Amino acid sequence: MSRRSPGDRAPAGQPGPLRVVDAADTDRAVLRWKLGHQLFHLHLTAMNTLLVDAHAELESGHWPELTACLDHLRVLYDAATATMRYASDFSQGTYERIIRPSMAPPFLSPGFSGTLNLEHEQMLERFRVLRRHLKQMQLAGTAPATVAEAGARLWQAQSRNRKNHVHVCAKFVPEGKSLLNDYFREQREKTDRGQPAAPDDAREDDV
Amino acid sequence: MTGDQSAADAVAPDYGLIAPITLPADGRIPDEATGVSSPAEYDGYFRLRRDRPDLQAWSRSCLDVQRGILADLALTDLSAEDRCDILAGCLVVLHTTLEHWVGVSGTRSREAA
Repeated sequence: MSRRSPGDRAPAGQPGPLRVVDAADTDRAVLRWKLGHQLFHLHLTAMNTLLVDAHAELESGHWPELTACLDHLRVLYDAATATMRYASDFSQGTYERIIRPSMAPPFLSPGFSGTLNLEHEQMLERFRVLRRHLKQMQLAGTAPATVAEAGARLWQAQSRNRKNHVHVCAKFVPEGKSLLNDYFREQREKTDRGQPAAPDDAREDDV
Repeated sequence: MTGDQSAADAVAPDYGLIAPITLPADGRIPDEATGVSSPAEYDGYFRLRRDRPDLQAWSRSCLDVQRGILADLALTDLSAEDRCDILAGCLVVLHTTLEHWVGVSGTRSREAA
């Protein structure tokens, strides 16, 4: 069985051959993209819970419990990194034909972006606060070395995650064009042509 | 009018002195991207439902998603390290959830005693 994808268009004025898309491949890509993101959200929710716990353990000076929290957070960060690789475990062609169009008009509003992920925004903010507090305690010499070592392992996991995000983006969008940036570029072009447009600024994160 | 708006309008008594105001669902002042796409659209796309789930509903979501991942993981091109990282993450999610179950169960036992 085969099906047409949203991206299969003949050049203007030409009938053009239908591109045959492997339905199983398409189904697999959609499943992995969305199920992978759902797992990512489970990880993020667990991370947000553990970040609150870690903050409480830090405030109370419960160092073994804080170390355990930091190590669990590290495992979840690495899991989130691998989960993004799972979510994107399909071909660039399938991304261009199926996944990317599914996140753009007419299916969704313009400007769809990973910055709309609420749990991720919450996690990053809590992470920043925890890191600042841990650093202050280290400078003051109040936290034991085991806490500092667990913290260092966690920051390394965060660094691996950021590098992986760059690789996933480069795999699917080699020129780094996000849907949000596409939207604002189109608005700028409209302005140049004298049409009303949205303000021109863009955030970098794409899903 | 949505259910939320109706509830906001129905709050009494303020004797008609106060009108409802609109606040962003994400708790931040809208920027240039807000009002174009939205967190609600993001949630809808990835089939995320936001309400106040109890521990049972949360646990069911964990089981459903992890069941799907486990069924597909062996068919991926992921490295053994990536698969191990995913499984370890699933374990921590379930471990943390079980700790909450034990906490809830302990509270109920103390209340029953």
